[in-house]
Amino acid sequence: MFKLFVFILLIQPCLLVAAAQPFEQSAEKLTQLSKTLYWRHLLHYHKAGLIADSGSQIDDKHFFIAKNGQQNAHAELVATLSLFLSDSPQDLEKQCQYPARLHWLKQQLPELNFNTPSCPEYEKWVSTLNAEQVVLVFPAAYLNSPSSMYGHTLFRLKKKNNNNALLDFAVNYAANADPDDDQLTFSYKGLTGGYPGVVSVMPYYQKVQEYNFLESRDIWEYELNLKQDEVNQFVRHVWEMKSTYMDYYFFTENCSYQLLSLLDASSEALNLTKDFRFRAIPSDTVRALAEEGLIEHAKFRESTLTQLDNMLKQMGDSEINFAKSLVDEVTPNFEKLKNYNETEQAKILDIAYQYSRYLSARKKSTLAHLGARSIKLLSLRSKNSNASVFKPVEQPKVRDDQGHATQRAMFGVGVEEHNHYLTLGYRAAYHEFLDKPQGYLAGAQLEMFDAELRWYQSQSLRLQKIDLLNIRSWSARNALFTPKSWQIKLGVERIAGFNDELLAKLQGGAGITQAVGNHRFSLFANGEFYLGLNSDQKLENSHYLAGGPQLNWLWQTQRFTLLTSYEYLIDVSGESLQQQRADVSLAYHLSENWQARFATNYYSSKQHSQLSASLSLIHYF
Amino acid sequence: MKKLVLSAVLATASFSALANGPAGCGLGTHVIFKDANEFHEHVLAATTNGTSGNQTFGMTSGTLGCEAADGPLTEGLAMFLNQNLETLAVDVAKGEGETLAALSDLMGIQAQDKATFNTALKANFDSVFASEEVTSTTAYNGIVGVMSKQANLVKYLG
Repeated sequence: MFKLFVFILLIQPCLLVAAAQPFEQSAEKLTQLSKTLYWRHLLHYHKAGLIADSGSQIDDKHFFIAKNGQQNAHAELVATLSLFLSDSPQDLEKQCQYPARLHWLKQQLPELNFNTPSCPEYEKWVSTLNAEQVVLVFPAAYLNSPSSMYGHTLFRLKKKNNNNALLDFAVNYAANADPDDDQLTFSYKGLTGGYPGVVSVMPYYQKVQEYNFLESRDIWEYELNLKQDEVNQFVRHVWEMKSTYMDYYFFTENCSYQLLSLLDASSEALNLTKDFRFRAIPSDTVRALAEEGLIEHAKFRESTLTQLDNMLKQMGDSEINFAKSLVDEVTPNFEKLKNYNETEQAKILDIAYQYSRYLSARKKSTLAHLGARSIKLLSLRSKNSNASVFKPVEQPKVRDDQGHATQRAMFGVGVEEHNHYLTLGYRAAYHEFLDKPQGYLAGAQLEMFDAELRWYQSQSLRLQKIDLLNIRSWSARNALFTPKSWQIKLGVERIAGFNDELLAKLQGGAGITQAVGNHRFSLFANGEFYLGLNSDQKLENSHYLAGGPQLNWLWQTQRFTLLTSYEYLIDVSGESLQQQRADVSLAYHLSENWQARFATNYYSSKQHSQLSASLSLIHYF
Repeated sequence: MKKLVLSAVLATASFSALANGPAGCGLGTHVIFKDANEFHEHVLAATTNGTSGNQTFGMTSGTLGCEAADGPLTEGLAMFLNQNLETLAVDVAKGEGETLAALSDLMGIQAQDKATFNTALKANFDSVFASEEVTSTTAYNGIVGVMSKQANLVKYLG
């Protein structure tokens, strides 16, 4: 039975005088406390990535009191206790850095004579936040940027006696990137932990501006049912965290992951980070909270573009065109407004204003009069007696965290000319057009690492393809603007007409999309580039380049999805191949995470033509 | 940081106590990926994001803020006006909305006077948002001007 002060003597002899208060504390008790999950959560000892338990994820040594606190939770516990039991002025000030630790240790060791430090700065901070509830905020994907599908997550702290969310504070965890870095440096550093990730607190309206207005992303807000003492502990821990940093890894230790780790540190009942060792997709982290029963209410906050779509649905074409002319023309005829009734005028002015802001935000406009025109439209609107004239946006029935799961496994049978095969597929992320659309952004597809193995009757197992990246962005036109549609695919594949060799491929193009009800029609100018990987090349120049038009029709309903496409490719690399491809895929959604799929495609060139078909069962997990 | 014609930075020291915005360098997106409409940047963004899927990587300003993480909390009317001027103008023109409600809360307007406040601002839109050169300072002075003419609202000006 050691006494605590013996430990202190061993570790920090300089503190001996300060901490030599007579108290009885068994070594076992301290060892046991230092091993508790909660103490480890307070220090951010988590397993993440490939490295097993390697101490704390916090990379800033100032966060730790003991010299080896980053690696040794027990030493950190003893050092923390000795700090809290000291009353030297220097230590009293330092005690203010660790309110969450102090609170918990007081509960665990009520028999000890803890100081109550006076921390005016911290007290003021806590009373300003005045938090009574923690809300998880999930800005969804946005138009024409499928890569934003992954999303971001942050927290809002609901203030007591305040019912206007804009006036709450937000807690954000982000990589502090160097603005001077170019994109590649940025990407590299992001993947390798080259940026410090920091927790910061700012007014929530700042975040709403950023997402809803600047980027035009809808926001989901999930009220978490933490008890008041858990909320308090969460706030205390944010204080401990906001002056430190963790290396930011886009793969594992990212925003969504570290927000879960903040929650873990707010309650002994939680262990949310345990399932996210290798990847943390924001929507999956929301699911983890839902599974824990932490989400009690979800609220939808629509973006400017969502509002705009909602407005357009409630107006006639002539009104929309008139509204457009009010913005586009240098000297528009405002007198014509009188031809409409009061409510219609309000609608026209609202949509004209939004359109004017859209133009200026998108930098697509060279209209010098835009700023003045925006103000003029609002000025006219203020003379209209109506308040809101549009029916509000309906909250989507399926939330962004309620769609199909993000990983996918596939098993199927197929026939290619006269060869039968079995097929096995795995996709790491995230969503394609043929997957169940509910809970995902319409017209956006983002797939990463999609691999397929085939086992033919005639031969052994072989790799059919690996798509490293497959993005499609089919943003539909509306009455006001025609966004660009684009798509790109990168990977290796055995492509029909090339002797079934494994080729590196890059395919992509740009086009336009028209939506009609739940149909999307798109027309693309597509190009593709193949590169042979084998030394015994059948490709004359070991590479192949072609381009041409592609027509697509996508039809999505509750129960099934149909995707058909036709492509004509003109060879430009001297392989003298004119290729045509036609694909028809029909997906039947058996349930949220199961699907049956039939696909057939026809390939034809001067030398070769073939028809193939497959039937597969797909599971999302 | 995208420049909005309407939301000018607080230029004067007329409410000096409130002029301390968050230190830092604005939104990462707009610094690094200058125009998020360029599709190749999206591709790069998605690629580097890995299957981990974090915050969309450069698409999302929110994760790349250069906030002074450890600074004091930013509060107050000037800061609010600075960052919400455009949405406030829309709400004032209609006479209702979340941003306008937040402004009246910040100014301590009590429930019984909120309708008066909203109506008065709407009626005097042109004096609060006189031109595209509006700044948070001119808007603030305009709001104070409107309130000082309203019997029910004068008391909130202290």
